[in-house]
Amino acid sequence: MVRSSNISLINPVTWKKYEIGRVKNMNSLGTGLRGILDLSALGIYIHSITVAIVIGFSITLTIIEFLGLKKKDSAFISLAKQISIVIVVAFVFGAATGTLVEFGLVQVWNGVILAIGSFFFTPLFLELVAFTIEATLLIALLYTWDKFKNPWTHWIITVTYTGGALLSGALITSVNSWMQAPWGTGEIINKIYPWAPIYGPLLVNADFLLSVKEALVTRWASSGAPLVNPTILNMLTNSYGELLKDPWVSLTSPYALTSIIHQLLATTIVGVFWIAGALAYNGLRMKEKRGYYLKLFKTVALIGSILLIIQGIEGHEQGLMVYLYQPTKFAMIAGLEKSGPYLPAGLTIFGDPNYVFKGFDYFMQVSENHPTPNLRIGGMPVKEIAVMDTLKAFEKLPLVKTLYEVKISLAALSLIISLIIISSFVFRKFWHGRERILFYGGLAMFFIAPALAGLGWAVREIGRKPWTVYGLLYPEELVTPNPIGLEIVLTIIGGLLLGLIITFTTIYLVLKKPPKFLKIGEG
Amino acid sequence: MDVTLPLMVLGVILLIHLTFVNINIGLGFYSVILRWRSISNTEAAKPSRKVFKFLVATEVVSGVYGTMITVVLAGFWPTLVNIATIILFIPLLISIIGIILRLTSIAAYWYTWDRVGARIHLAVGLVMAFSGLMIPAGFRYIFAFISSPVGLTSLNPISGNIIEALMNPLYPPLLLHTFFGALSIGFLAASAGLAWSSKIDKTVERWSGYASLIGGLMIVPQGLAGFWFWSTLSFHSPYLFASLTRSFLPTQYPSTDVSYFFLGMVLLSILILVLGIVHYYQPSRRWTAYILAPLSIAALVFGEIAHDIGRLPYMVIVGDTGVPVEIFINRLLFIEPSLILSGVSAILFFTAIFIALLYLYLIKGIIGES
Repeated sequence: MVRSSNISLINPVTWKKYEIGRVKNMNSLGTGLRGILDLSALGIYIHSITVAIVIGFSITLTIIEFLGLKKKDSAFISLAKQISIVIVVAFVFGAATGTLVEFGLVQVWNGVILAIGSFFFTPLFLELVAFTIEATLLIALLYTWDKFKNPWTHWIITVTYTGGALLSGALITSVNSWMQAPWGTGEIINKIYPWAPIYGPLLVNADFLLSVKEALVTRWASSGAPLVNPTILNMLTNSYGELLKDPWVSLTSPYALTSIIHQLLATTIVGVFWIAGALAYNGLRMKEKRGYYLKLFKTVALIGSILLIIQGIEGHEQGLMVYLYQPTKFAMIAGLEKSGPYLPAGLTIFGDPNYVFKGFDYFMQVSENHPTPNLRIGGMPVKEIAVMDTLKAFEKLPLVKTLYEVKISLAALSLIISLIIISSFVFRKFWHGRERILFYGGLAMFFIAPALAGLGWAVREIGRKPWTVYGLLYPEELVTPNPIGLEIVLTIIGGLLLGLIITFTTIYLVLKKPPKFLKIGEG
Repeated sequence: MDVTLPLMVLGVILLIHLTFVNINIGLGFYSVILRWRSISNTEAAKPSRKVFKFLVATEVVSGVYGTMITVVLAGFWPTLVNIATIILFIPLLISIIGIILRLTSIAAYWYTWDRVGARIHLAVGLVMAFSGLMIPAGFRYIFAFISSPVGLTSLNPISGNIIEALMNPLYPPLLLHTFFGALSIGFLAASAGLAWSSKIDKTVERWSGYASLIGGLMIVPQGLAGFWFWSTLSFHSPYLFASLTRSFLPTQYPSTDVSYFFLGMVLLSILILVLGIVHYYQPSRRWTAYILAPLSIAALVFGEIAHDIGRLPYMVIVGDTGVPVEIFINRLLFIEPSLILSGVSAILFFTAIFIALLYLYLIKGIIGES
């Protein structure tokens, strides 16, 4: 049962003084929330480049090394060694940008610390284990090439390392997924937004959560960060008890489970097609070694093509989760300004192309006819909150719909390319002498695959707006009270770009002249 | 939630992190110094590479454990982390930039070796070495802050002056003490590694001696900075000062007695200074180098125990009293001790594997370069 809290968390006089000072700072130095959101997005996108290399390359490495050992083919082993060294370089930079993202989370989005101490505690703690496995075995993997009498021992290290990398990715995705669909909050969100679903059993302390929310929406507190202080949290725990009853909640959500598969597949596909694209480029450039590169390219591209088709099937599951747990995002994607049919989802979900999905007109209507109009949070009627936020979400519809449509068009194109690549294994005679077409397809996928993943991520993130935690918390409630000046923004962007330049220069150098101990090309 | 397990987890992770971080910082500088010497004396090239290989291998542990500290702190003491991120916004930013520069420049220094001109490589090396100092330059503000929360004006709502926080009087001596300590530990670790290498390659023996001399002599400025820090504590963090000197000086406050750890650190430091000089004159006696490295780590551990346990039962010291650890502990959920223990066990297990690999890689040469 959701009810309004009667605990006052804030001293109006102190907060007023604090807010005046804060607004002054923001006006004189700050770049505003928009800039901070953009900066965070940039950091995550740059970090995702290395994530795609680390995860996608690890899967490819595992398969290529397996094939090399099974077929006793030195070309595959050489490629595997090259992949391993690129992973090491990317991992180092990924650790750096990952640290940046991590600090960005706790330093710029301070309010999230409340979630780190509760909903995210278990996945983040387990991620430390995964990260340790990853870091430790990556070093072992690199330095033990050709060192074991039984080469399958090395492959076991590779498999374990890849498992660590995937586990790490899965746990981080579960954290993001909780922000998309806050599992364990039961009916709480539905009580504010009548169009919202029920997010599993109630595993949070509703009074505690509502007290925090109440303080956040009061006119004094425009940033939630200063709320995460010992006085307030101890007062709340003393009054209501613990905030969260099940520390595993973010890992058991159906949205998280589907997202993990979807995100890991997307990331892997990018990494795999980057390798395939590089091999295609070499195949086109070096006529004398075209046969050598064609064999490697076809194998890697086949892995990517198969994964892409699986992703297409899995995408349906992800779409279903969005439909079930993020109604506004689904309406944005489907362009449902007004309720109506949306053929792809109607067919795949209900087998009925004319199935009528709820659009923003419905969301507005149920918000205006709120079932509990007298319920107030922080003095504000929930009806007003629901109407205002639904309108804010509606504003994002054109952008999200466009991004999604571009993404789907690219997905269709990439599916055609993938089928062409697969056909080269079936119709070998037909493709004989036409290998250049395959190479061009691989080169195209080098760019299309990351564009697909990037657009997908943009839809995922923009689609959950105006909230950071869907239906619960806004970005402005979680952001730091400190001004983020232009000098800080430029420093961070400069650092990221410098890091990227150094990373790609290093990758280029190591591929051009690999370390001697790897014995590349000596097989 | 009981604070004992979280404190133990934080303590173990912090000590492992600080040990490797200090080693890495010193190794970075010694590798660059040797690289610089190698321009005129080619003999120095080989030990420079060896020292840097050691750095690359250990940097992974320090990086992973650094990430762990953030998660453990934010998970167990979320409100403290929030206070630090708001008030110490600028120092933390410095550390983040330092981390990015450090990791990328390590990769660049490693892979550009012999691929670019010596002077350009040296410049990359200098970025690598000095960016290593940027990281503690930011993070040491947290330690200074919890001993004297300069800049914090209100806890509810959290507010303060982020510029005033930079003026913490405890910070300059603490930072200098950290810098000289890191150089000492790293040089002594290099000395031990090179001493082992000298069993099969006599040419690196003298560089082991140089490393032990510099590492030993660093104790002198570190001791002076330490004295400055200690005396500053008496004015700005009297509770911690009382904890450090409880058995030797009359104190008016009831405090946690860590004076024997403090004394142990001082005595070990003197021993390090003496043995460092001895090894320089007799580098063929490898055992002195083998002893010096663990001694320096023991001094670090003693110092950190004195500094961090000395503040208990408080997390943040305010004059002769403080804010107890329990005030900041996470009570948002019940964290199962079995989850924590199994996670920490797995982390330590893989760390042990890593150290075994490091041993095989650096010392036994089983998985070393062909």
